Amino acid sequence: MLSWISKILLAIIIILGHVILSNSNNFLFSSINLPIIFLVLFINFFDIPTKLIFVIFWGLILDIYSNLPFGSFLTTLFLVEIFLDILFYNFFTDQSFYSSLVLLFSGLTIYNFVLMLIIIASYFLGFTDWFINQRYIEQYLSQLLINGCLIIIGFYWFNKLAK
Amino acid sequence: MLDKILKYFLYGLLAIIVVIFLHYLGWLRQVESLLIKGLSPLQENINQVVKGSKNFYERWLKKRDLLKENEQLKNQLIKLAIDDSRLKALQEENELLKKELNFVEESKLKFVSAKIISGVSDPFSRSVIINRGKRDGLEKGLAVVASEGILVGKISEVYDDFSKVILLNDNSSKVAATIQNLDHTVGLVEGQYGLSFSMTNIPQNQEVKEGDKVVTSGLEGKIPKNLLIAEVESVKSTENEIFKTAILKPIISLDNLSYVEIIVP
Repeated sequence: MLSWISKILLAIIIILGHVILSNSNNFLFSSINLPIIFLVLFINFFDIPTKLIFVIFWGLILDIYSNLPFGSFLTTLFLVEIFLDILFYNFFTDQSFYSSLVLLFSGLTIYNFVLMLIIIASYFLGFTDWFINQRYIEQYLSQLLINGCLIIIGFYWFNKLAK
Repeated sequence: MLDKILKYFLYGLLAIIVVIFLHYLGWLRQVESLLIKGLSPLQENINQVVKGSKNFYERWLKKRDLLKENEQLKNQLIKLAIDDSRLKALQEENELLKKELNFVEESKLKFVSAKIISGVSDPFSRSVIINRGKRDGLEKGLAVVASEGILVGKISEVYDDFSKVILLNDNSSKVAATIQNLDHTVGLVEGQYGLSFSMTNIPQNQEVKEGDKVVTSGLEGKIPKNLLIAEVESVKSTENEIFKTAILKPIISLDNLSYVEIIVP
């Protein structure tokens, strides 16, 4: 098993490679999806938490660099990883060439499908800068806090009255 | 196993929701800035090597084309020299007329030069990261031009030392523009899936023809007027629609940018 430093280095190399390939303006190179190839090839080499940390790190970097709504790549890569694990541990467990091909096909399909859905949703719902902004989140958090407090008070009084 | 995956799914989902929330609250800014800062030296070097090898390959491949192009450019240069002399004469005349009419001299534009560190492109998004940020006086919405003074994008996000630039061909890019025709048609230059861009919202009665130059209209506060954007390649018009669309041809390629300049107020 690899040490944590090696894992971090590997994750950085993969994501930098992916960013450079995607930005190469060459149809062939920009079609290569290094994170998904890595996830499929090394699906049994790393445990699930490590793979999840990998995809969250990759998603975070891609979201920082990209102009899509923040969280698009985080969510997409995360869903791809979970789906690949479900397929691998329950259906395609033999790690054969054909299983890898099926996993790659599924991974790429989910990646494109989820990313497309997020982009369409962001376009139609308009949750870009003006919709989900700091004020919106603060309002949401304050709603959670205030309503949570009301539930606590209500729960306390309800229990007290029940006794 | 499914239970285990489901458990990790919930943990992961929670982590992602927290990260997204923290980002929109602005609490992740320092971490994001650090990540860009940490990765930028490596990214910058690899980027330069990739660009260098790509240029070498292209030059080697296109040697014959380049010779032909060189010949054409030489001819064009002669024509431009003639135009230049005419322009200078007109400029002098303009200066004279302005003085006579007591025109207030327009404020000179201030530029901040920046190097492109990295970028991400997918079918919907085209953006790059530059090595200038809040500390250099940059802010969201400022115009980004190539060294020739051609608009290539807008600042979309600013960190302390870095900024994100949304290029004109990004799907969500919109810039208020004017066509340099008789009607001075006003419209919006919008990105087309990272491939090219077009000008929309052109009223049907306006006459737009191939080769017309498209410049910024100055309607957006932070983008100065008359920055060259592109030229009209073709016009798409449907009788039933109120507006028509002009397909634009970029003046320079947005794919091989290395350095850009930002116009600061």
